Amino acid sequence: MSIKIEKNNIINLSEDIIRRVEAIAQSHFYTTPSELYYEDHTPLVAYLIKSGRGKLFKKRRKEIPLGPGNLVGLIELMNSEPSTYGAQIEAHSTLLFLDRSTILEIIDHKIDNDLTSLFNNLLIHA
Amino acid sequence: MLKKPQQSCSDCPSLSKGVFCSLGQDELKEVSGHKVTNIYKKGQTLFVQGNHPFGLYCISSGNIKVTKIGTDGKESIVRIATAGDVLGHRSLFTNQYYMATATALDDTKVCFLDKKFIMKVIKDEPSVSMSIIEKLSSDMGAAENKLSSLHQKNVRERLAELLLLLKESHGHIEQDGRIRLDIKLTREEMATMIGTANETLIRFVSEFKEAGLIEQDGKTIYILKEDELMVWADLAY
Repeated sequence: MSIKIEKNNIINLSEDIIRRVEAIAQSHFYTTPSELYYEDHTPLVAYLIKSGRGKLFKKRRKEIPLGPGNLVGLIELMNSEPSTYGAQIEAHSTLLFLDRSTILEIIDHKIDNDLTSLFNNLLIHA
Repeated sequence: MLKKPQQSCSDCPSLSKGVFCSLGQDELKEVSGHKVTNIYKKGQTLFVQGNHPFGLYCISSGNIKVTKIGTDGKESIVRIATAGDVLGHRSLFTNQYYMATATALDDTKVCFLDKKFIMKVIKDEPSVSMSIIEKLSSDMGAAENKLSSLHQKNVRERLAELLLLLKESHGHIEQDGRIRLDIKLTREEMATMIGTANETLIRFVSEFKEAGLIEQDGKTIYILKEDELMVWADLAY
């Protein structure tokens, strides 16, 4: 299973993968626009947009739209590095969260073998 | 996977006041390897009321205001968290969404540990569980005191009490004996902390200054007469 990491570390996941992540991740429905993480910060968790919209932004000027299937923050979280972009989510969006412990469980073959190979590939090539 | 090195918890200036103070070097190394560290600028939020809780926040340096928005849309400060304090610990055990918003009052270094990891540490290390219970108990005591102050004390007494509490958490004794409060709060923030209007707070701050209890240099407050402030606060302890 190969998935390309886009510029700005956005990862596009297929519906099948989203369903697999949904089975292990917690979700939250945002009723108001919210800051996911700030520019120059390491994200606290990785965020997968299940529905709704968001954006990555730099210095409040350059903006990259985010939508369903976009996974952001994974590379920065697992490499403990600051993100060059901040991330926001719009109201009425649902996000799935993957924290470091869950990602490590995936990598260590504790949860879902397909996700294990996918995440290992993503993080090795990041 | 390559993971960049983080500042070790054993080098944290607030280790002795934090929940990991009793851990050995090996356990601290494990915590250090798992945490996410960020510096929040003034006004940036760690978490927002109503959002999903992710884990535990440990304040390494700086100050965080914890606020609640009322039904009228007004913000009130529940408490100020400072170096060595933790945030998000209540949500670890309740599965409730955040009931308050945490915002940096100045540049604040915060380390974050996700819920799964910290729950494992709590199970494996009784000293960490005890520290978190102590923090929860202390928070509960402070909340009870605040509630009784709001019901039983007048604004003058509540302001005196707030200054004494800030002295405990942020007081620094100068060479000339004055106590400098190392935290810069706006009038609005101080007013919400004692449940009064901005104008009322300004009036009482002037009264305290005229009585020689405090003085101000810009936003910095100095306590001049702590004993008298205790009398004004009507402290029963």
